[in-house]
Amino acid sequence: MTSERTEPAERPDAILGRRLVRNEPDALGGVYDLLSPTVWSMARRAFPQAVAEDVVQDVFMQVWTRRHQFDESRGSLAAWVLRIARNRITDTIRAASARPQLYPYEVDLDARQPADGEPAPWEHAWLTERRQKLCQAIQGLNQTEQDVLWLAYFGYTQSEISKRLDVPLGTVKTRTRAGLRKLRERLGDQDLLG
Amino acid sequence: MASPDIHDLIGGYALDDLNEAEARELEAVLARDPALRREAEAVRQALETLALDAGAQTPPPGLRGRVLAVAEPPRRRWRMPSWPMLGFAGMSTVGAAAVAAVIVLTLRIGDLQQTVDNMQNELSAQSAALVDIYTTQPHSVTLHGMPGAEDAWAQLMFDDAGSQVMLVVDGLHAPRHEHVYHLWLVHESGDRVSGANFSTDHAGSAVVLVVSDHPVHVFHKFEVTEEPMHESPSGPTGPAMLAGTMPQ
Repeated sequence: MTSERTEPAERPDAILGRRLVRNEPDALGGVYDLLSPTVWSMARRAFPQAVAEDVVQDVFMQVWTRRHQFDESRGSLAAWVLRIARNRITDTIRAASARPQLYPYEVDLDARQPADGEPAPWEHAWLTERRQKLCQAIQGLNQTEQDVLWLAYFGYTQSEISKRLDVPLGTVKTRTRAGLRKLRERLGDQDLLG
Repeated sequence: MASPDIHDLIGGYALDDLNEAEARELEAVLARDPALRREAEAVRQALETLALDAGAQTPPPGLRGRVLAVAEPPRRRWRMPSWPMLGFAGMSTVGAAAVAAVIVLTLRIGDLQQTVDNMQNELSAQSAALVDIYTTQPHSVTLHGMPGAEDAWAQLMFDDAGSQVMLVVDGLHAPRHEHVYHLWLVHESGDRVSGANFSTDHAGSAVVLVVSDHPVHVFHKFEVTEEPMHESPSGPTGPAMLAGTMPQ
């Protein structure tokens, strides 16, 4: 039986992942060029520019120092890097939540599209295509489902989401799970980062 | 076929949002149902794709250089600075032991650099791996040159407790007349404390003992600015010449 998934051998992040693990020159630069628009946009959803710059720098520093932990048999480089980014952002938000008067960081729910600046013209077509597929899937969720999913993705607890959106806790839980279930159904078998 | 409740639990599982009883119930089901395990993995993957919904803005133009400078700092030959340039001039006897530690550390750095140089000569084809050895010291933060001092480079090195801290500077031109360099230890909030004053020698090098009431781990960022001599600024009066961030 012939698999339809011949794509991974050609995927830019698959090639970069192997180069990164082999310590090849400029591999980190290649990873940065491919994924930094996404990581930067994630960081800017939560932080002012100066903090976002530090976060992005830390993310790619972790990518570099932990590159030997990357195992492409367990997932793609894109998924691995974006997971590191999500964890770094979540950790920063969580640390800030203890002292909100000092660190008023909040995920910006109004910035569904880039908050400022132009979309990166050099984003790889492979990633752009996946972003478009995700956008199509997300359009099937109502605004509240999108909002609660976003906040949950960035590590907000259900009670924090309840306060932020001023909706009952039970409603948050229901809509978060429903939103995720809908997203899963609409994506079908597409593992956009896999 | 699994009940809708189980699918809800899978959603909660991906979101790390189950209480203990719910998690136990789901894990028991997943343990005996491979199809449901695949479904749980698919839900987790669906959640992770939300990263793509953030957009694709162009990062600031200087950020790429900062990232690569921190991960792959330029290899420099270490030069022992002349003693008058050391930043702990005038320390009390309390600091004598620390000074001795700095000397020992400096020699060890020299040894390391020599080792790296020798290995590079022998294994130039594997220079990237040698950079790795040089850069993955567990307790160090690289400060890179900012506009006006692009060739400068420094490394903040510290012990496990974060109490013995040393700044090694290279390629930073001497400060202007009646000025010194000032190391700032910056909290994530932006609050900063003074770490040291220092100058650099004719080769742009310095070794500085950093004194702080707090372990260096509590700080988020480190900056070097040029400040007027004989003054104790509460904050930088000029732009950063060197800057680096504590890795998480």
